[in-house]
Amino acid sequence: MIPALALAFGVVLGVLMHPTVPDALQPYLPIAVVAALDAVFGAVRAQLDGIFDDRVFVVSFVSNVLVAGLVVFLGDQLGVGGQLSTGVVVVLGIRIFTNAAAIRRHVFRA
Amino acid sequence: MPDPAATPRRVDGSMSLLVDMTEAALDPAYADAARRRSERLTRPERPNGSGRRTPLLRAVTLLTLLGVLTGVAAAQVRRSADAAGAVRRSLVADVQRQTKETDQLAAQADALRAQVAQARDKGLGDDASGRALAARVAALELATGQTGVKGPGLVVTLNDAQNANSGVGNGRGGQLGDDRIYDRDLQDVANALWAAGAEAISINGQRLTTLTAIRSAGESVLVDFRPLSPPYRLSAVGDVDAMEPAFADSATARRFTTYTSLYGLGFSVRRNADLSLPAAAPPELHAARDANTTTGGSP
Repeated sequence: MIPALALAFGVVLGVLMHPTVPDALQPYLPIAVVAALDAVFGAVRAQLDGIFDDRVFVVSFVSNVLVAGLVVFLGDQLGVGGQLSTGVVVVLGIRIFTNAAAIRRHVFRA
Repeated sequence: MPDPAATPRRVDGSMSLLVDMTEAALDPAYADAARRRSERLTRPERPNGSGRRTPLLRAVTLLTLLGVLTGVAAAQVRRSADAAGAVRRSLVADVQRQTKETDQLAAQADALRAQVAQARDKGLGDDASGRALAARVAALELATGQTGVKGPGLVVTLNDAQNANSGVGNGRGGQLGDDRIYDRDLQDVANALWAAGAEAISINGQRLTTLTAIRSAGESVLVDFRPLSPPYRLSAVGDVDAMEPAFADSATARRFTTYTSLYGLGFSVRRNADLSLPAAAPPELHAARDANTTTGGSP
């Protein structure tokens, strides 16, 4: 409950403040969000499985964001940034869906 | 080297990437951490209770961070879309303003041209040679499209199909964009009308002269470098009784009749007893000189 409230609070904060993102970082922001979402869905599933561990969550969250940003950055330098960000979104998207399905099975037993 | 018989090959082995991705969807580190914790718990060290606060705090901090990231990213996307829309709107306004300005200037040019003609007629004088010159100028102007003309004629209307796809290409080979009218179509119809005996033609109010170009830029058709939009009305003044059957019998007209049923293009021919065609802008001749005058000099 509290984590969900924290998420909503963060969204409101981000929309209201709208801090200026440096131009150099702009392309990585959506990728970072998707990577972080993957970590969050993994954490929720782990919580329902009863094996949640906050240290693993923090490490996977931060490393997910950094690695996704780094991969896209590298792709930008090599001229395949668009394709690599598509790849990152596809892989993370599949994982998010798989974890969401597991969460659904837990919650609804179906 | 593992014995291949010991571990039977998986049926979906060739899709190992997808299998890995779905089976390892939950970070294996969670399982490892849980195992380590249970090992630790077998050796009782500290009772639960004091260590419960920090994990929650960390998770809340991270989720707030994620929320901020999401909000900022969404706001960013919305704002850049707004900026692009504003640029587009201002460009559209620019185009409309410039088009209006061009129309005004064209009207001004028309008025000035009429003044010039009047002054010229006055300057040519009222004697026999002056009148002859004035008559010759008038005949030449009529023939070169420098004056507006009236008379009976045909109006050929061409239009895109009702729900035309956007797309460039005018092959009419069943490709995208077959149901649109292109510069080539207007050229064909104009040529067929000339061949049928038209004496003066205008397309959507743009008079055709010997130097008028019918071409396209992107998806829009330009006549005399003015962009036109469908439907395209080609008004042709001429001997209607001869022109109508000659045009109807031309290969172009027959082709467009076929296109009407094939692609749904709009194509119609009507008689009009009293057409009125505007004058064309005078051609800008930079290098050509009158062959009859020995002294050169700019016109």
